[in-house]
Amino acid sequence: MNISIAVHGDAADSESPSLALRFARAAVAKGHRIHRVFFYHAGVGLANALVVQPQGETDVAAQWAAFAEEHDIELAVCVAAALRRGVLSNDDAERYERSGPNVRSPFRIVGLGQWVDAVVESDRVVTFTA
Amino acid sequence: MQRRILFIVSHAPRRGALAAEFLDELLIAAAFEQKVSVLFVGDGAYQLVAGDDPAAGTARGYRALPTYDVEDVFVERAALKPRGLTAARFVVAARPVARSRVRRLIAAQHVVVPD
Repeated sequence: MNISIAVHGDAADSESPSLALRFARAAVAKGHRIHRVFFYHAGVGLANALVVQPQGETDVAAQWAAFAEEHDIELAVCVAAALRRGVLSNDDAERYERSGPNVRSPFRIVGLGQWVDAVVESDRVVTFTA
Repeated sequence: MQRRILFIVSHAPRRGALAAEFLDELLIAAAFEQKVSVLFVGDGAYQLVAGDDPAAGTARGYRALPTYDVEDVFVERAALKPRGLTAARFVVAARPVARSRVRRLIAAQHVVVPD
Protein backbone atom coordinates (compact mmCIF):
# COMPACT_ATOMS: atom_id res chain seq x y z
CA MET A 1 0.00 0.00 0.00
CA ASN A 2 1.08 3.55 -0.73
CA ILE A 3 1.01 5.57 2.50
CA SER A 4 1.61 9.24 3.26
CA ILE A 5 2.12 10.58 6.75
CA ALA A 6 1.46 14.02 8.21
CA VAL A 7 3.43 15.11 11.28
CA HIS A 8 1.88 18.05 13.16
CA GLY A 9 3.96 18.24 16.34
CA ASP A 10 7.54 19.18 17.14
CA ALA A 11 9.81 16.73 18.95
CA ALA A 12 10.34 19.17 21.82
CA ASP A 13 6.68 19.33 22.84
CA SER A 14 4.96 16.34 21.31
CA GLU A 15 5.10 12.60 20.72
CA SER A 16 3.83 13.16 17.19
CA PRO A 17 7.19 12.80 15.36
CA SER A 18 8.30 9.71 17.28
CA LEU A 19 4.92 7.98 16.99
CA ALA A 20 4.86 8.76 13.28
CA LEU A 21 8.35 7.31 12.89
CA ARG A 22 7.38 4.10 14.68
CA PHE A 23 4.35 3.84 12.41
CA ALA A 24 6.48 4.45 9.31
CA ARG A 25 9.03 1.80 10.33
CA ALA A 26 6.26 -0.72 10.95
CA ALA A 27 4.65 0.09 7.60
CA VAL A 28 7.93 -0.34 5.70
CA ALA A 29 8.66 -3.57 7.58
CA LYS A 30 5.29 -4.88 6.38
CA GLY A 31 6.22 -4.11 2.77
CA HIS A 32 4.25 -0.87 2.36
CA ARG A 33 5.66 2.17 0.61
CA ILE A 34 5.84 5.60 2.23
CA HIS A 35 5.01 8.03 -0.54
CA ARG A 36 5.73 11.22 1.38
CA VAL A 37 6.02 12.51 4.93
CA PHE A 38 4.58 15.98 5.27
CA PHE A 39 5.66 18.15 8.19
CA TYR A 40 3.11 20.81 9.03
CA HIS A 41 2.28 23.16 11.92
CA ALA A 42 4.94 22.78 14.66
CA GLY A 43 6.11 19.59 12.92
CA VAL A 44 8.33 21.76 10.71
CA GLY A 45 10.64 22.07 13.76
CA LEU A 46 12.02 18.61 12.91
CA ALA A 47 13.71 20.19 9.91
CA ASN A 48 15.51 22.84 11.97
CA ALA A 49 19.23 22.05 11.76
CA LEU A 50 20.00 24.44 14.64
CA VAL A 51 18.22 22.34 17.26
CA VAL A 52 20.60 20.78 19.78
CA GLN A 53 19.42 17.71 21.69
CA PRO A 54 20.67 17.30 25.27
CA GLN A 55 23.05 14.35 25.57
CA GLY A 56 21.28 11.10 26.23
CA GLU A 57 17.97 12.23 24.74
CA THR A 58 16.68 10.69 21.57
CA ASP A 59 17.22 12.84 18.49
CA VAL A 60 14.01 12.07 16.62
CA ALA A 61 14.89 14.44 13.77
CA ALA A 62 18.17 12.57 13.19
CA GLN A 63 16.26 9.28 13.29
CA TRP A 64 13.79 10.57 10.72
CA ALA A 65 16.65 11.75 8.50
CA ALA A 66 18.44 8.39 8.69
CA PHE A 67 15.22 6.44 8.10
CA ALA A 68 14.33 8.58 5.08
CA GLU A 69 17.78 8.18 3.54
CA GLU A 70 17.81 4.45 4.10
CA HIS A 71 14.44 3.92 2.43
CA ASP A 72 14.50 6.82 -0.01
CA ILE A 73 11.49 8.54 1.54
CA GLU A 74 10.64 12.17 0.85
CA LEU A 75 10.52 14.44 3.92
CA ALA A 76 8.47 17.44 2.84
CA VAL A 77 8.18 20.58 4.96
CA CYS A 78 5.47 23.18 4.38
CA VAL A 79 7.10 26.48 3.42
CA ALA A 80 4.49 28.76 5.02
CA ALA A 81 4.60 26.90 8.34
CA ALA A 82 8.42 26.76 8.18
CA LEU A 83 8.87 30.50 7.54
CA ARG A 84 6.62 31.30 10.48
CA ARG A 85 8.79 29.12 12.74
CA GLY A 86 12.20 30.08 11.43
CA VAL A 87 13.10 27.10 9.25
CA LEU A 88 14.58 28.47 6.05
CA SER A 89 15.85 27.05 2.78
CA ASN A 90 18.70 28.71 0.88
CA ASP A 91 16.26 30.58 -1.31
CA ASP A 92 14.14 31.74 1.63
CA ALA A 93 17.19 32.95 3.58
CA GLU A 94 18.22 35.06 0.58
CA ARG A 95 14.74 36.31 -0.22
CA TYR A 96 14.00 37.40 3.36
CA GLU A 97 17.59 38.51 4.07
CA ARG A 98 18.22 36.22 7.02
CA SER A 99 21.68 35.19 8.23
CA GLY A 100 21.52 31.80 6.54
CA PRO A 101 19.53 28.69 5.75
CA ASN A 102 18.90 26.16 8.51
CA VAL A 103 16.92 23.36 6.93
CA ARG A 104 18.39 19.99 7.69
CA SER A 105 19.08 17.48 4.95
CA PRO A 106 17.23 15.48 3.61
CA PHE A 107 14.17 17.57 4.63
CA ARG A 108 12.89 19.63 1.74
CA ILE A 109 10.84 22.85 1.85
CA VAL A 110 7.78 22.56 -0.40
CA GLY A 111 4.38 24.17 -0.93
CA LEU A 112 1.15 23.01 0.65
CA GLY A 113 0.11 21.73 -2.77
CA GLN A 114 2.53 18.84 -2.20
CA TRP A 115 0.34 17.72 0.65
CA VAL A 116 -2.72 17.60 -1.63
CA ASP A 117 -0.61 15.72 -4.16
CA ALA A 118 0.30 13.19 -1.46
CA VAL A 119 -3.38 12.75 -0.61
CA VAL A 120 -4.22 12.12 -4.25
CA GLU A 121 -1.33 9.70 -4.82
CA SER A 122 -1.67 7.66 -1.63
CA ASP A 123 -3.97 4.82 -0.62
CA ARG A 124 -3.86 6.02 2.98
CA VAL A 125 -2.93 9.27 4.71
CA VAL A 126 -2.24 9.08 8.43
CA THR A 127 -1.97 12.24 10.52
CA PHE A 128 -0.10 12.46 13.81
CA THR A 129 -1.45 15.54 15.59
CA ALA A 130 0.55 17.45 18.17
CA MET B 1 -8.22 11.33 -8.95
CA GLN B 2 -10.59 13.29 -6.75
CA ARG B 3 -10.51 12.32 -3.07
CA ARG B 4 -13.15 12.78 -0.43
CA ILE B 5 -11.40 14.60 2.41
CA LEU B 6 -13.06 15.40 5.71
CA PHE B 7 -11.50 18.11 7.85
CA ILE B 8 -12.46 17.84 11.51
CA VAL B 9 -12.21 20.99 13.60
CA SER B 10 -12.19 20.10 17.28
CA HIS B 11 -10.20 22.95 18.83
CA ALA B 12 -11.28 26.47 19.72
CA PRO B 13 -9.68 29.34 17.75
CA ARG B 14 -6.82 31.41 19.17
CA ARG B 15 -4.15 28.76 19.17
CA GLY B 16 -1.65 30.94 17.39
CA ALA B 17 -1.25 30.01 13.74
CA LEU B 18 -2.72 26.53 14.11
CA ALA B 19 -6.31 27.34 13.22
CA ALA B 20 -5.28 29.52 10.28
CA GLU B 21 -2.88 26.86 8.98
CA PHE B 22 -5.60 24.25 9.21
CA LEU B 23 -7.91 26.49 7.20
CA ASP B 24 -5.13 26.99 4.62
CA GLU B 25 -4.79 23.25 4.25
CA LEU B 26 -8.53 22.89 3.76
CA LEU B 27 -8.77 25.69 1.19
CA ILE B 28 -5.76 24.36 -0.76
CA ALA B 29 -7.39 20.94 -0.96
CA ALA B 30 -10.59 22.57 -2.22
CA ALA B 31 -8.66 24.74 -4.69
CA PHE B 32 -7.01 21.56 -6.05
CA GLU B 33 -10.51 20.26 -6.73
CA GLN B 34 -10.75 17.64 -4.03
CA LYS B 35 -14.16 16.82 -2.54
CA VAL B 36 -13.82 18.64 0.76
CA SER B 37 -16.18 18.38 3.74
CA VAL B 38 -15.80 20.06 7.11
CA LEU B 39 -17.08 18.91 10.47
CA PHE B 40 -16.97 21.05 13.60
CA VAL B 41 -17.04 19.11 16.85
CA GLY B 42 -16.76 20.15 20.51
CA ASP B 43 -14.94 23.45 21.03
CA GLY B 44 -14.28 23.53 17.28
CA ALA B 45 -17.81 24.92 16.91
CA TYR B 46 -16.51 28.23 18.29
CA GLN B 47 -14.64 28.68 15.01
CA LEU B 48 -17.98 29.13 13.27
CA VAL B 49 -18.69 32.29 15.23
CA ALA B 50 -17.10 35.64 14.42
CA GLY B 51 -15.71 37.22 17.58
CA ASP B 52 -15.35 40.89 18.50
CA ASP B 53 -11.94 41.15 16.87
CA PRO B 54 -12.21 40.40 13.17
CA ALA B 55 -8.44 39.90 12.89
CA ALA B 56 -8.53 37.07 15.43
CA GLY B 57 -9.93 33.63 14.78
CA THR B 58 -10.75 31.91 11.56
CA ALA B 59 -14.49 32.51 11.29
CA ARG B 60 -13.93 35.02 8.50
CA GLY B 61 -11.96 32.41 6.59
CA TYR B 62 -14.67 29.79 6.97
CA ARG B 63 -17.11 32.31 5.53
CA ALA B 64 -15.28 31.77 2.23
CA LEU B 65 -16.13 28.07 2.03
CA PRO B 66 -18.95 28.44 -0.53
CA THR B 67 -16.56 30.40 -2.77
CA TYR B 68 -14.37 27.29 -2.84
CA ASP B 69 -17.38 25.07 -3.59
CA VAL B 70 -17.20 23.55 -0.12
CA GLU B 71 -20.84 22.96 0.69
CA ASP B 72 -20.71 19.95 2.98
CA VAL B 73 -20.29 21.76 6.27
CA PHE B 74 -21.45 19.99 9.41
CA VAL B 75 -21.49 20.75 13.10
CA GLU B 76 -22.00 18.18 15.81
CA ARG B 77 -25.41 18.93 17.28
CA ALA B 78 -24.32 18.07 20.82
CA ALA B 79 -21.61 20.77 20.63
CA LEU B 80 -24.11 23.62 20.35
CA LYS B 81 -26.26 23.84 23.45
CA PRO B 82 -23.56 23.47 26.14
CA ARG B 83 -21.68 26.34 24.48
CA GLY B 84 -24.68 28.58 23.96
CA LEU B 85 -24.20 28.47 20.21
CA THR B 86 -26.96 28.65 17.65
CA ALA B 87 -26.73 28.08 13.92
CA ALA B 88 -28.07 31.60 13.36
CA ARG B 89 -24.76 33.06 14.59
CA PHE B 90 -22.58 30.98 12.29
CA VAL B 91 -20.63 32.66 9.51
CA VAL B 92 -21.39 29.82 7.13
CA ALA B 93 -24.32 27.45 6.86
CA ALA B 94 -23.47 24.34 8.89
CA ARG B 95 -25.83 21.40 9.18
CA PRO B 96 -26.21 20.09 12.74
CA VAL B 97 -25.61 16.34 12.79
CA ALA B 98 -26.00 13.68 15.47
CA ARG B 99 -23.05 11.64 16.75
CA SER B 100 -24.31 8.54 14.95
CA ARG B 101 -24.23 10.46 11.67
CA VAL B 102 -20.62 11.52 12.33
CA ARG B 103 -19.50 7.90 12.26
CA ARG B 104 -21.08 7.39 8.84
CA LEU B 105 -19.65 10.66 7.59
CA ILE B 106 -16.11 9.56 8.51
CA ALA B 107 -16.62 6.10 7.03
CA ALA B 108 -17.49 7.67 3.67
CA GLN B 109 -14.14 9.50 3.30
CA HIS B 110 -10.85 8.63 1.67
CA VAL B 111 -8.93 10.81 4.10
CA VAL B 112 -9.76 12.41 7.44
CA VAL B 113 -7.66 15.37 8.61
CA PRO B 114 -7.84 16.33 12.31
CA ASP B 115 -6.81 19.76 13.56
